Amino acid sequence: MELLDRYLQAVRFWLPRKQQDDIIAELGDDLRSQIEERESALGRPMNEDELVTLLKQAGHPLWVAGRYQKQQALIGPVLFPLYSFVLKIVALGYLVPWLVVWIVLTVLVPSHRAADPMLTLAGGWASLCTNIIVIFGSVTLAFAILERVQSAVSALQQWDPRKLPRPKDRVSRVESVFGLVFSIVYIAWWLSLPRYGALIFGSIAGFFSLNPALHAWYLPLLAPPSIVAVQQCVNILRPQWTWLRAAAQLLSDSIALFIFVFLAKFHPYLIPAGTANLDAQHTQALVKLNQAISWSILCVIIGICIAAIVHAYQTVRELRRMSKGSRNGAVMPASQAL
Amino acid sequence: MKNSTKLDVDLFENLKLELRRGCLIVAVLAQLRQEHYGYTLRKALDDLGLAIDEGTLYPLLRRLETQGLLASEWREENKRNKRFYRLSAQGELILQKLLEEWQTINASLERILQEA
Repeated sequence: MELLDRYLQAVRFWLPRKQQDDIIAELGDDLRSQIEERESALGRPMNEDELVTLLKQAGHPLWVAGRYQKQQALIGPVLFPLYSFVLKIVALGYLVPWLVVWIVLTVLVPSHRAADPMLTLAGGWASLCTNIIVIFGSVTLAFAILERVQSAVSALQQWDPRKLPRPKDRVSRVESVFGLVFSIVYIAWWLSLPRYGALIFGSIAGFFSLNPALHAWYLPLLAPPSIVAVQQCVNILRPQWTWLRAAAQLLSDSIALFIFVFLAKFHPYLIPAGTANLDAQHTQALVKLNQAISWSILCVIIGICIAAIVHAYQTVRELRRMSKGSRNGAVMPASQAL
Repeated sequence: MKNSTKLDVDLFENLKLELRRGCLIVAVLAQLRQEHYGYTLRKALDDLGLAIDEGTLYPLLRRLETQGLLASEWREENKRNKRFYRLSAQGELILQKLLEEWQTINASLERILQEA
C-alpha cells in the first residue's frame, strides 16, 4: 500500500487546503475498495505492476486534484473574445507605433543608434520584448480580476440591440461632405501661402525665408489632400465604395511619406532673407527654428508611417471583403465591385 | 492520413465528453434516490452501462452537494469511514424538471432522426 499512500500524498499536495482531508479520505476509500475487489477476484494480493496500472487509470495526481478546483480558466469563455480584441488593439495601437518610431529614430537620428548595428538591434529587441511582456501581463491581469469580480458578466446581461453599431457597408455621406469641406479649405490655405505668407509668418517673414530648394516641393505637397478630396467627392456619389477611402488614404500617405523623407534632407529649411545680416539674437532664433522644423518633420514622418500601416490594413481588409462578397454572389452589390 | 485519423478520434472524444456531461448529472441524481457512497455509486452506474471514473464522479458529487442537490454524511461501514450521498428535496425537484427536459429533447431528436 506504500504506492497508494504516495499517490494520495501527491494528490493532497495540489488540493485546496480546507478540503484536503475530506477529499483524500473519500478518494482513498474508493481506491482501497477497488484494490480489495481486484484482490478478491485474483485470490491473492495485487503485485506492484498491477497497482501501478490501477493508479495510472485513476489519473495523474495533478489532473485528479485539478478536477476539484473551482476556477479552471484565468479568463473564461464570456470575457475571452473581449480580452483577445483588447490585446489586438493594444498591439496595433501601441506596439506597432512604438516599432515605427524606433525604426524611424534609429534610421534618421544618428545619436539614437549605437556604433555597432547589432547592438542597436539587440537594444531595440530587448525593449520590444519588455514592452510586449508588460502590456500582455497588464491586460491579462486586468481581465483575470474582471473575471473574478464578474462585473462584466452582469453588464453583458443588460444590453439593447438598438445600441449596436450599424454594419460598415458604406461611407457616411455626412462624413464625406465635412471631409471635403475641410480638404478644400486646406488646399485653399496652401495655395494662398505665396501671396499671404508674410501675414501668416508675421514679423519673422522679413528676416527669414524658405530654403529655395524646398520651392520645388510646394505643388507636389498638394497631391495628398487632392487625392483625398477626389475620394470624398466620389464617396458622396458612391458611398458603398468603402474600399476607395482606405485605398485613397493609403495612396495619399505614400506620396506624403515620399515627399517628407525628401524634405528632411534640405536642412536648413529657413535661411536669412535676401542679403540681410542677422544679429546674434536672430541667428540663434534661426538655429532654433530649423531644429524645431527638423523635429516636426520627423514627427510627421512617424505619424504618416503609422497612418500608412493602418490604411494598408484597412485596404487589404476591404479588398478581401470585396473579393469574398463577389465569390458569395449576393452579399456585395455589383456597383460596389465595379 | 494518420494525423487526420487522430484528429477525428480527438474530435469524437471531445464531442462525446460534451454529450455525456449533462447525462451524467441526470444519471447521478437519479441513482442517488437511493443512498450510496462513492464506490458503490460508481459500481451501480457501471453495472447499468454508464461507466464513470473517480476523477469525474467525486468532483461532480461535491459540486452537486454545494448546489444543494445532494446531502451527505460520513458513516463507518466495514471498519472504514465512508461518505454517503443521497438526493435532497431540492435535488428531487430539479431531477424531475431535468427528466422532463431530457424527454422533450429525446423526443425531438427521435423526430429529427426519423426525418433525416
